[in-house]
Amino acid sequence: MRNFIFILISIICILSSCDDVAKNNISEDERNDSLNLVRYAENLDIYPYESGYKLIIRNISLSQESVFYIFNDSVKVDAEINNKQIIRTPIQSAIAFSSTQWSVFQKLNELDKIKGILESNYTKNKEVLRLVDEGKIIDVGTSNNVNSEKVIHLQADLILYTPYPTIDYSYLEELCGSIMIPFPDYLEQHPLGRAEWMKVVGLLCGKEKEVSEWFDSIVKRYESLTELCFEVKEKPTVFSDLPFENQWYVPGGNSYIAKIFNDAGGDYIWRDNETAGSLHVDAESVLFKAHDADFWRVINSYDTPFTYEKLAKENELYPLFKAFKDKQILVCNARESAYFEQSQYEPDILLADFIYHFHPELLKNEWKNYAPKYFKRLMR
Amino acid sequence: MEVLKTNDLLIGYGNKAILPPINITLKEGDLVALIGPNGAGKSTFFKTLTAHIKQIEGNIELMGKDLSNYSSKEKARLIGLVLTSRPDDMFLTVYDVVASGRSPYTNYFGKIKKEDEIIIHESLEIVGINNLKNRYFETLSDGEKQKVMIAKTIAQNTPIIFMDEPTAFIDYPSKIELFSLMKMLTKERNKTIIFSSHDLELLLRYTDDLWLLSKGKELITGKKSELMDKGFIKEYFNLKEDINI
Amino acid sequence: MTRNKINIIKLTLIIFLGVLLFVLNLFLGSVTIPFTELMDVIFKSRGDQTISTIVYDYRLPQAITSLLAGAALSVSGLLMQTLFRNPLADPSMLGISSGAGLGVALTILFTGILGGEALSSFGLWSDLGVSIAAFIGATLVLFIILGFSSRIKNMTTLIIIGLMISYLSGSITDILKFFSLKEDIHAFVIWGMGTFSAVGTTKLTFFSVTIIIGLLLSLFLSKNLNILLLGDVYAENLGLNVKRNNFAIILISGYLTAIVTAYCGPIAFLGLAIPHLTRFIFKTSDHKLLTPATMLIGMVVSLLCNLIARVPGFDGNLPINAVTAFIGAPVVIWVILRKR
Repeated sequence: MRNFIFILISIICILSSCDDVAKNNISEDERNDSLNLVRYAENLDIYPYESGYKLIIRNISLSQESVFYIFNDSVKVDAEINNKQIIRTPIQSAIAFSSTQWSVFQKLNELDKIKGILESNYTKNKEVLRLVDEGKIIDVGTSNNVNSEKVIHLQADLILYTPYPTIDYSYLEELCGSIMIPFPDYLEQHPLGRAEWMKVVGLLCGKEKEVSEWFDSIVKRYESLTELCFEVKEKPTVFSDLPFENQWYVPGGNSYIAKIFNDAGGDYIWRDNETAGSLHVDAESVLFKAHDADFWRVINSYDTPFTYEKLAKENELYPLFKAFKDKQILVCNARESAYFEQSQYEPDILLADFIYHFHPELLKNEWKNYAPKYFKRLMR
Repeated sequence: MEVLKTNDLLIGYGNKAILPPINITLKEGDLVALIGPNGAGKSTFFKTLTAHIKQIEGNIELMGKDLSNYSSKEKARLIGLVLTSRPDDMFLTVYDVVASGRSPYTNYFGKIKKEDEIIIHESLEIVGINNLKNRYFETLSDGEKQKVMIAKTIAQNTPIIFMDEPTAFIDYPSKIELFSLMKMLTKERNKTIIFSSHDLELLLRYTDDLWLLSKGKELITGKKSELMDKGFIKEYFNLKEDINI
Repeated sequence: MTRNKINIIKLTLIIFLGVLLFVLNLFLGSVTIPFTELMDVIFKSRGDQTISTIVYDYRLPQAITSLLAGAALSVSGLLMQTLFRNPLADPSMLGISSGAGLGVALTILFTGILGGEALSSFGLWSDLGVSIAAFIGATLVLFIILGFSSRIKNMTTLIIIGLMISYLSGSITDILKFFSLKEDIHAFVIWGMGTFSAVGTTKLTFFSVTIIIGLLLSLFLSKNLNILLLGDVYAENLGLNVKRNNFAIILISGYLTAIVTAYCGPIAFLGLAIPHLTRFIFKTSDHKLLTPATMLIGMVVSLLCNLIARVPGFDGNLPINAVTAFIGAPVVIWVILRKR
């Protein structure tokens, strides 16, 4: 229990220290941590503001902030904030650049608000595919190559986009006059922080209460699962991912997935590393550090059966790993499970998946008959 | 002995003949100067005789056999060539260039045997550039370079040698050296040499046989004295007086 | 005779350096292996299983790949430089590398699109290997170039055709990239950085045999290459069938480049820099010496680059292409300024 309090305090410290940096940039009275409706996401603040909300999104670098004022359609708005970005909710139409955005709309039964998405050919979501087929959702290109004309034509109220340092979307704002909301959810290091971005969609749809309850239930389940693993003494070691041409890019020690491994009572091989992004590691280092790791997590996408035999054929180093020999490779087939679209909003399920493999004996009561959703052990 | 003979040879590119049919005969030890203005077809003529381009009609006999019946290796042992263009590689030595003259005789790896070594040495001696043997070709003067190319051709040991303007771009003493070298090769070593040149005064002094070429006209061949007597030379060069040789 | 002796001394030193670097390649890497433990693994065939795996299954094939790829690219560059009599010629000149790049782009980017998922980010390559795709792309361009070379004698024309094919395949690659996912492009970028570590023990036999065949064949070209230095007309006069010879040179050079690019990615600069370095070390144009010496120096420099790229003691490694250019560019500048 003392550990728990310690971790909680340190999380709060980290979060608040980040906030301090941001706050120094703009000193406004209404910012008060106790009023912030966001608890885990570091790049997102939501404050009650008069009869609506003030949404602050820190975009890639901390110094860059986007501020939006959100009011219900029925509310009268003061003239003094008229020159600021105001969003009237519930919104009528939006374009979502990422599946992590539209999947929340779908969950809230608000998919009819989505008029355009990117890379529709990469999703396996039947409803979305049907809507694209029917022309109710328009595919507006890829993240590298947004079709501006289609975007302009859609005349959406909002464009939700994923900001990347190398891609500039600011021209779209000038072209179509839609409000552009950055959605840097992928930068969050805490699994609950990533999930918390659902609150933005909740606000936009005027369903903030519903989303808040949904999120709280996730937090509750996530924390109760974490608690199960606090006392664990023997932590199985785990490493992650497959290389491309023997070049390994593995999650850093401060990454989202490293946090889940840790919370599931696992010992991530690169936990001492301080990167939040991915690490480029020489194959011999991986072999040296991970050759006797107990588990190996792999995300893959395949049509044909994925087997140990196939893996061994691909790279002769694979069979040298203990996890391979013991058949303890945990595979997620992104094709079947919609991992990239949904898992972000199910961190509790992801966590349970790993606990199921690392410490099956700990899953009791409501979790007793749990069957992993995303990561399954590769049997053959 | 007849070294080279053409029968009604038509030369040109494609199907377009640039000169009337050519009939010439060359014997062992002949030294012939091919004279003509630029653009008259000298280089086409040379290229045809050395089998670099095909004739339109007629045939060329080399050592009594049709040129087209020789393999490229056999031709390499019969026809030597000295060109105006020169190698420009930085680390090519004089020895390397002269030794390459032996390539029609060496094995697949180009191994230089003892007898090749002797011939290379001899060739350097004949031209008088033994002292340059280990120098880099690129560092030589134009006259020296020309001698190296001739030494290469001597090492190639062919009965017939074609030289394209061998005396161009070199100083006067070197020109004289080259002419006497050519004369020596034909007289003492029984080579047959055909060369083109614009050095009228010198070539008239050193050569006996002349081939006079002018655009689209029949090739005039003959001994220097004959041609002079008939007034061909005077007419050809638009001279007011005969040249004294 | 003295020149011969000096050359023998130089060759011996280079071979010694090569052996030293080869051993260092086994000895140094991201994982620090104590000397005694390494000796145990090598001589007593006992000791830690992982250490022995790292040395035998990872570092050894990598060192051999690096050695052979270095020799192959350098010889390939030498052949190109002599063929075109152009000091700036290199194996990529005929568009073979960009052909390989297009092959890889088609597999990575296009299968990505067809499969409906960003395949590459997950590592599994199903049955269409990157090496196979690169090899197909490279050979295709090679055959196109060979087709042209048997028709045209003028080498400048051939260079221009090679350049145009490069641009063409480059532009198709760019178009594919434009329509692809970031993850797929990332995989393509990784391929473009080059590596000697992707060959591994299973593919190593095939790789070695094919490269060694190419290297041996290149030795047979020495005589003709020497003659070619005099110029095309002289070469023909000396009995060389210039067109057939050009064909053979392009075939062998292209073959070596295609295989190396297929397995290691487009590795730049070795092909350009090593022939220059060799010429200046041996001060010769005689290919009977130059070709084998270029192979040896190519091996040495490639091993050195591989060692540097692995940044001994650190987890990650540098892209081999960055290292070869970093070493190669100053060499070319130094050589060109210094002349003789």
